Amino acid sequence: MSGRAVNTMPAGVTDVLLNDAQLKTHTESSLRGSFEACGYVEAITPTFECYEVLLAGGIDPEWMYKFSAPSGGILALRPDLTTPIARVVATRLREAPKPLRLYYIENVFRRPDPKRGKQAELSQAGIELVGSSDPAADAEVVAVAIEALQRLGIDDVQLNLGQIGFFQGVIEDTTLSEPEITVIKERLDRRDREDLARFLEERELPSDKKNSILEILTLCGGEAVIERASTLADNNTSAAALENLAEIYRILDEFHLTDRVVVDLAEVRGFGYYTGLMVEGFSRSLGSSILKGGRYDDLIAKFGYPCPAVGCAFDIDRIATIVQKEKLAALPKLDALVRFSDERRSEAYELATALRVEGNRVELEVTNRSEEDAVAYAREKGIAELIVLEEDEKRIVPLENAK
Amino acid sequence: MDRLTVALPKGRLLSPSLDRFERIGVTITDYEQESRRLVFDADDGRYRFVIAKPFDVPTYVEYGIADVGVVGSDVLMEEDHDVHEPLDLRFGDCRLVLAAPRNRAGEGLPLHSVHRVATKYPTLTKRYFASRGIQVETIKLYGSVELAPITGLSEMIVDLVQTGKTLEENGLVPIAEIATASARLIVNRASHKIRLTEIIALTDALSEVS
Repeated sequence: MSGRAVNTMPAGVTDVLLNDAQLKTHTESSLRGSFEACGYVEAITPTFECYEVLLAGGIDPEWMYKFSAPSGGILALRPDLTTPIARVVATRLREAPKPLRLYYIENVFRRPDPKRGKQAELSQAGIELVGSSDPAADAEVVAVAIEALQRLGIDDVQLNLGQIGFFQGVIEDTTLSEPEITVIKERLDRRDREDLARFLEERELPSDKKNSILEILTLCGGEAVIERASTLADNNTSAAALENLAEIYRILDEFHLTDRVVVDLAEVRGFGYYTGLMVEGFSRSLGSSILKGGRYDDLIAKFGYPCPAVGCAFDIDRIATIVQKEKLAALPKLDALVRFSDERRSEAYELATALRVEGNRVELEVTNRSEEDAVAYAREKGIAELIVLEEDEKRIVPLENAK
Repeated sequence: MDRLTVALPKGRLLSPSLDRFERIGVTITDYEQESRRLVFDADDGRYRFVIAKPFDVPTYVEYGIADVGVVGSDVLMEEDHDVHEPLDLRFGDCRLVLAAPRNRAGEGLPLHSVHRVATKYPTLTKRYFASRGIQVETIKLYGSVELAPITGLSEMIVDLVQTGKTLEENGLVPIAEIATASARLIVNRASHKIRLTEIIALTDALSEVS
């Protein structure tokens, strides 16, 4: 086995190095701090699961990286964390006192696709508030999300709140078939009013129903949108959804957070498992969403334990790029490089350890290079000083002017 | 308030696009047709225009580099981009057609021994033939698609036609219409949410002059 080194990488994965790695870690630890301050505890689940478990989450199978277990069963890399956490709640945490507040910081894996992004491996942080169907729980998740993003210095965060039940109510008492509903959703998703109007024109629907579906496109804005939506849909499902959204909004108003919130009933896309509130977070600095979430009251039941829950996931990779724009942290520089002659190795190690205990970042030489080379290396890396221990002398070569 | 960035496509849709913006009061005295510059600011400072290849316009918009863009619906049909498409601008109408050399045009599609089809639109071409149960080899070309049947690279082509003149001059005749296309306004998903009022104002204004 000789010849050319193999150093290619699969599409959709990336190495994160130096400043980028530091920003990512900073983002993660800031989010961790925010979650823990609100009483959330960490859950760590396996990177891969039984395919059936992930399938139960209602995620499109096309998304998943599948492979076979030695025993012949099918496994898959987790495409999200909410489904594994639902499994954990239904099994080991069934008896735990509710509400449960769980958080995770993990990687998820999805086949790259234009509609869901070009990254195959994504870093996600997320919270799940399990065991309460009260709108106060929905409002808490939204509030934690806003505060956590603001704590990262993202002051222009905007959370769009929708309610899946509103759209369900609008279409449930019609004769529309499943494929027709898919077309309607796709056209709503593209915000293509004319194309949607043309499609509805050819369907047998009462004209006020056609109008209601078309008007969904305009249901984005402040609290008044909820009022306007209620005039469009006089069915119980939609009315209950709007009442729920209004209550969440009222609570957020009491938290003084509604300046960060937009009511958005025009968004009908989402993960299959959402049953109520749907959240999507944005910042002006980025052309795509940085957070997604919602209420999933039926998911945990699929693992044998009916239990309401609401949560959201933060896109760490994207958030790290805006943190970068707003406060680029310099990579911490090393304080010293210790160079020594062989007979003083023990002493050099002792010196380095003593300095490290005091909080300095110290490198000990491991090669036999000349002092000139050591100085060049230290300058390149921005190390503050070179400490030389040889024969009887201890010299300090300051390198402050190093860039 | 930040500027709104608009991506416009180089080529046949560029001057009607600029014309629509001019009609809603967005003028660029800075703009020179022959210039190689690709970025222009509108006089009122509210808009910045970037000029890109038509197939690149949705990419700039999808990534949020441009908030909105103008692009032919042929491009949007060919490539799956995650952008909003709120408005048909009703200009740049054209048809995506399957065309063959005049002497073979009468044979009809299923009997034809079509092996290779040259096109800038491989996805739409494959979909068209697949829906008719015909397997073809599509050859992706980046321009002057009419050259392919003349030189024997392909038996047929799928291309965008406005008047049909180019086809005719190259001895080709349309044998089927695959789709119709016109210029669309597209909007970045996040911009559409964060800058909703501005985008609605722009969409409404452009809709009135369309």
